[in-house]
Amino acid sequence: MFRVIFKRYRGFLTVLFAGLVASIGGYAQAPISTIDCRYHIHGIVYDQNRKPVLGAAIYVKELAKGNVTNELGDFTIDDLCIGSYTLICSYVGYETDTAIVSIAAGRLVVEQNFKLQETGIELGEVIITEQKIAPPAMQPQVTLQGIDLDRTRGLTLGESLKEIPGVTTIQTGPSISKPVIHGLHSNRVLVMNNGIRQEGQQWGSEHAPEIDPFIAKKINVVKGAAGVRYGADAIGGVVLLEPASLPFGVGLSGEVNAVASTNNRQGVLSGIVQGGFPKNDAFSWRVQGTAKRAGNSHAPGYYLKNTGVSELNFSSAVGYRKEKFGAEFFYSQFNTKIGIFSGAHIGNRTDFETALASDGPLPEHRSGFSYTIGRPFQDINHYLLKGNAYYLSDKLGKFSLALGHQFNYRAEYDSHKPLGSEFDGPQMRFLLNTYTTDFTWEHKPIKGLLNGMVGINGMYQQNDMQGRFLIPDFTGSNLGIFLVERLIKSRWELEAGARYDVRRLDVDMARIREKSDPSRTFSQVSGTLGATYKFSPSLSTKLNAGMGWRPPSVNELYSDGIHHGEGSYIKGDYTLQDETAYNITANLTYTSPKFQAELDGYHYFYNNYIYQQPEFPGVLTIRGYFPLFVFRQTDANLSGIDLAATYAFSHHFSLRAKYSIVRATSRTTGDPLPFISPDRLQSTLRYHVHHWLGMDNIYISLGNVYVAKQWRLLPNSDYAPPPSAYMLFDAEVGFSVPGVKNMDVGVTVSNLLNTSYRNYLNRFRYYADEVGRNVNFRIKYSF
Amino acid sequence: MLKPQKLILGLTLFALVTAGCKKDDDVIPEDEQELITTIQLTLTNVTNSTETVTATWRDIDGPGGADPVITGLTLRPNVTYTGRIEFLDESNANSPEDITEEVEEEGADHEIFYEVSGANLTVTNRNTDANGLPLGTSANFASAAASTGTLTVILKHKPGSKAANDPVTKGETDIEAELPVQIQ
Repeated sequence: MFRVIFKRYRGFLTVLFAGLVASIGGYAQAPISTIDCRYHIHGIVYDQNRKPVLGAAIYVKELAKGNVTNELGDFTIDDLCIGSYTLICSYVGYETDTAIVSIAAGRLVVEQNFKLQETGIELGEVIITEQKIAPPAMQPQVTLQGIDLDRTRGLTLGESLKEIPGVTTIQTGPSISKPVIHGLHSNRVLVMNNGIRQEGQQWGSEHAPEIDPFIAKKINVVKGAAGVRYGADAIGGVVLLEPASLPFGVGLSGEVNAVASTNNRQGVLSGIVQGGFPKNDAFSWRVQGTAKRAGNSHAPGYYLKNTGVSELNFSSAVGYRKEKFGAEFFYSQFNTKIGIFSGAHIGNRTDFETALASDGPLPEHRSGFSYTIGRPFQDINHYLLKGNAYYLSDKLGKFSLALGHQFNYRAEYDSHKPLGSEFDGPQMRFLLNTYTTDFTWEHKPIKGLLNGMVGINGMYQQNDMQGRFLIPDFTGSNLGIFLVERLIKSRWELEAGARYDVRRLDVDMARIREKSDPSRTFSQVSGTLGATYKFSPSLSTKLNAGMGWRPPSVNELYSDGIHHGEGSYIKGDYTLQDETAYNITANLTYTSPKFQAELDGYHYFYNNYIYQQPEFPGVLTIRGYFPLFVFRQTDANLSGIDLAATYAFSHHFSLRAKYSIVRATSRTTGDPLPFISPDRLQSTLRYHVHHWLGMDNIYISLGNVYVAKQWRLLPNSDYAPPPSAYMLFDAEVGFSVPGVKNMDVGVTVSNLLNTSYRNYLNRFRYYADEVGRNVNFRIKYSF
Repeated sequence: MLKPQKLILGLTLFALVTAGCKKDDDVIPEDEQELITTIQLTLTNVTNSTETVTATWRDIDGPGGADPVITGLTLRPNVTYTGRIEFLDESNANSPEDITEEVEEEGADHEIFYEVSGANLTVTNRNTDANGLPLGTSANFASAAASTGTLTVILKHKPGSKAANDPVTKGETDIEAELPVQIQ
């Protein structure tokens, strides 16, 4: 029945899509993160000396929500509907200021600055009773934007998110990294690129998200099972990348970012040019591109041979907007060639043991600096074409439709071409075509209290693989329907949601040794229930219970082959069932001008958690004996704590500390699960001045990170003992260039002391140390 | 208001910019996959060329699946043999492919080692590549007193780094197959 529905539905969509292409010039930004509207108020809070005020509270009276300013005095209030709002700006020691802001159709961002007057009382009887800072959702959520995002420029997407408590990365050498949220990753973390779920070969831990982070103006990370809105498989969380809104009704503007790094002599250049038409505010456009080139990374003592990267990305968008209707088209291309550290590509178990026994890479895998990318390497292209549109109905609310097509090409080249062959192509090549459709209806608030949306997500994908067998060809189709409602009442906010998904997988059995039913269908209900409560203007709590599930992925079901990066034989199990996770997250947030703290606790009660388990005996091949790893299921518990706190000693000095721990054990055996992030403590001391020698917003910071040893492992469950604990230092300085408007400069030194260390979550930890000291220079110019 | 012509022009430009970027697909020929299924070691008595002994290590379906079939060497004591090794791809029964020649052609990047354990067998005089470095597609095998043990054939791939007196640990292992040896 599902197939019939899907066929009809696809036909309908094709017609609709064709219609859109023919009739509309573009589409609007889809609301992707919340169930509210999509307007923003942005502004800066100054004191009477025109210095930015950090930690001032901005409160929208009508909505009982707000935000606080950052160190630049900047604030943004998102997800506002058309209408008029009362903004109250307050800060201890200053007179409270009020402004009426009206949001009309057409301008996505409304500017409203505040200038506060000192009251003469530094800290005292000023009691703020009305203002509450409402968090945007029921789950812990962190947003990287502004300076926090600028600081990560030049890094891969995975690396940029590492600053967020509870988020780490799994790495494959220096240039491939994937985000891990609360110990979960790959198929359990969803990446939404500009409103479309990213579909590459994300099951592989050495397959990083194929996204240019420069596209994003804002990266939102939702921690915890957030599947109801985005797809039930978002068990670990969701990474949402959002570009800036298109500039309607204004002239030409843009941004240039340039980054240079010393360690791998990397250069990155990225630019955005965008514009609207001052006389016609219905149209807008944007073109963006990034070029990146890096050579061999350097670990203390040696270069990592063949670890260069070259990347060339491009995106464009056009938009059309009228009062009640808007549409947008977006196209992006991501092209990269990534060298794989040659010392990590090994022939068999004996080679692996030789590499392990060696102190650093073997002599033949040492080299000088070079930009050349030789075998082994990955060649990846990812294209996304997206069209979306919305319609605002006075009576019913807002209807949105987003259609996406993604094309993912991945070619993997072994360390040498086939013996005696002239063929110099890849040993493995994957092509994945994915079509996605999202339709949502956000109804008008009912009695001004109940907001909500219903929606349908559809996906159809086709995988074609050639070369050495790893996973079979397949077609997959998904259909999901969901409903989320939110009730806002003074101190309370409640949210409930439910979702139903069906996934069908049709596998080509031609190259599979153990034949089984080629068609499989998985379906399940998932849900979420959450609440926030504000005890006082500075203290609030969130509690959320969610349930997510995920069908086994094609590699977990059907893998059958040697993994040359690990020297192991990986085997799938076609009898695997869906995995289901019941998740509770609790959050406590305290915000005052001097002290901000956020504590998250979470627990996953996992049924049928899929993981890799070594089995004996191994597999005897012509290359010798390989240890065998088979995908198995177990019931598991996963829990942890993230803590982040900032204390401002004065207007200039602040200290920020972050601490994260995760624990994961099998409920069946009580044994710890492998490949879980070790405990991590990070702290940063920061000195900030608003003006000095003509420069604005100067800051200097010194940070350190301590990562413990992951000793929670079964003895002999890994090829090598887990790496020791390590401590790294970093330093940073940033300012706005005097005399030039809108030019910001930053210099970051990571691994300041050039410490040799290995990271448990780097799959190449067996072969070489992590990269050493790196000085990163970045310049941003906006016009 | 924007004229329809301008809109169409804009759309066309957008389509031109965004279309036509499909990746050329390098289709990988099925027969270009490197797969060695079989090793055949043939020893011939130096003094009596009619006396030959053959050992094989064969895994027709490649890694995984069915277990390999292994036939060891049974040698007479105190005999010197000349040995010749062959690497074959027999995955397609209709057209088995001999890969030995290709190893010899790329001899400057390859080296074959013979490691003996337990048995009284000595391997010497490996043949050499174009640069005069040991290759090992042929060698001398000399047996001594009656004994049992194993002979491990190791094919190493070390493009650009092959040198004289390389240890067996150097380079990437393409083959590591153990053959039982009986001297009686």
